[in-house]
Amino acid sequence: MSVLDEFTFPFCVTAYSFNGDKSQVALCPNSNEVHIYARSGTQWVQTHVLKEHDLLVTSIDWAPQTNRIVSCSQDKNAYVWTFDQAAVVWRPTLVHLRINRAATQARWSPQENKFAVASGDKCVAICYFGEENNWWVSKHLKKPIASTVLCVDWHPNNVLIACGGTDMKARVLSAFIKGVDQKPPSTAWGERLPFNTLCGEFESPSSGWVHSVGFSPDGESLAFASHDSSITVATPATGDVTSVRSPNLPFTSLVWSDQSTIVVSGHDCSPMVYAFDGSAWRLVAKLGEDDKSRRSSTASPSNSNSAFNLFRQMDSRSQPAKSSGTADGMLKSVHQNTITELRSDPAGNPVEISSSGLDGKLIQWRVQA
Amino acid sequence: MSNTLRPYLNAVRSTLTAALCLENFASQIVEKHNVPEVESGATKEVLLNPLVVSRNENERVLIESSINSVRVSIRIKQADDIERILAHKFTRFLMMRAENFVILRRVPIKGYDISFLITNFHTEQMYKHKLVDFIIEFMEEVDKEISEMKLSLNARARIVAETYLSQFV
Repeated sequence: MSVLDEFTFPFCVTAYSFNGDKSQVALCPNSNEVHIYARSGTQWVQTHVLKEHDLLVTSIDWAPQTNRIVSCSQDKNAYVWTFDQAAVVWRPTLVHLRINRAATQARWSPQENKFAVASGDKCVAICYFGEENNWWVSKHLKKPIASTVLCVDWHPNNVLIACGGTDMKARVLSAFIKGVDQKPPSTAWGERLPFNTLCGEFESPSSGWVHSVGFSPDGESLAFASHDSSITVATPATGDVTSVRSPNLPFTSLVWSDQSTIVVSGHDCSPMVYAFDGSAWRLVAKLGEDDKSRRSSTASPSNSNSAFNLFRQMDSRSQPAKSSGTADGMLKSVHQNTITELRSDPAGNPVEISSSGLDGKLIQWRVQA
Repeated sequence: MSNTLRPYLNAVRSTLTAALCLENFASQIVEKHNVPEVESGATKEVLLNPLVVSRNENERVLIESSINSVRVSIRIKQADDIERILAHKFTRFLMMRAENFVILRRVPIKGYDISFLITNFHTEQMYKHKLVDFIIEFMEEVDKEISEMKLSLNARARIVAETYLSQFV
């Protein structure tokens, strides 16, 4: 049983983030709003609606310890939301991003004193709290980036950042901010790390857009998923850059579950587990393949009445649906459409991950190799 | 289904499935805009190589994809003048009502009879496998429809000619 929890929202979930103990979730219903839901029994109940953005919210990240939410949008802005206990409202603070194109992804650093906002302005804005003018200010990582940045990920040491985008390269850069960061211990990525130092640049075998990047839990390796349906893992200490090509559709998100396990998901609707067996990365499992029986009996109300659906389909389309899935047009996977985002557990539990899809499903999985 | 049609449609189906991996992508040329990149063509790095699947010189499908949109253009089989007229009337009828078909483009690409434009907003609203099914079904149906129309046109012409000529008997 790899599905721990499954809930279907009546809209596409394009971005989401759990809070520290997973009792609440902030998600974007494919619009300019951010909705906060709280857990009540097996259901999610809406508690707050955060309306400040003008255009589609592209990414949300909830800092587990400091309980702050950063949201960014295609309207070029990002807001940091803090919870006001007395008035029970979320208060926004505008971030001085200084970008001229859409923001694509926002992520808090591990120590939660900085965050990175990737953008279509061919740069990554590293934002930190400027004490002297009392708001969030940013510095731009610009140098070798040639196109829209689609994804960012922080190294566990709070200084290095990986980014990838439509210039088909994944890069590791230093986001060291004087006065905010302590000098980090030297790693395989480099020793002296002033701001905007390029520590590594990688390309996938057939050079596709890089959809997702991720540092391994110890920070020694970088993995990225690109549009040529491959995963590439680079380890600078040994100089290894290995790629796995997949026969499936491209992956759009990637998380490390532990040091030798990567979970990827994307256009193929089921998360896939890749594990390192000592010599190569191999596909070991597709999550959700094992519990077809559970879903056919109890899953969401839309497919519980398959006979009804069949006749409705015959009525509306004047013929039974022919499709790649089962008889009622459902796919065999748990998600019925593209998986938009895959997140690791905010509390750091390595075997629990969660995913959201364009079909409105928010699923928590247990990873088992 | 004839045995050359099946591999042709299978090739189109798998190409479309692979091409329809779309995501929301805001323009990096104009701020606060979100345009189908395959139509604007202004950002070269987000376009993929276009691909032609061809059954013979008269029947082919052009699939152009990009990060947030796919353009599918179909050339319908036209063996003679009647089929040419019928195909033209048929596609014109559909394209004049393009907004009812959601993914239909109002004007076909040069060299093709009918074009579809699928963006990430369509794949968000509709299941991807159903969109692919729709296009494949359209390709199956359109040939059938046109040859049926051609048959009934010929039958009608024959009846008209017989009726007309019978007065001279």
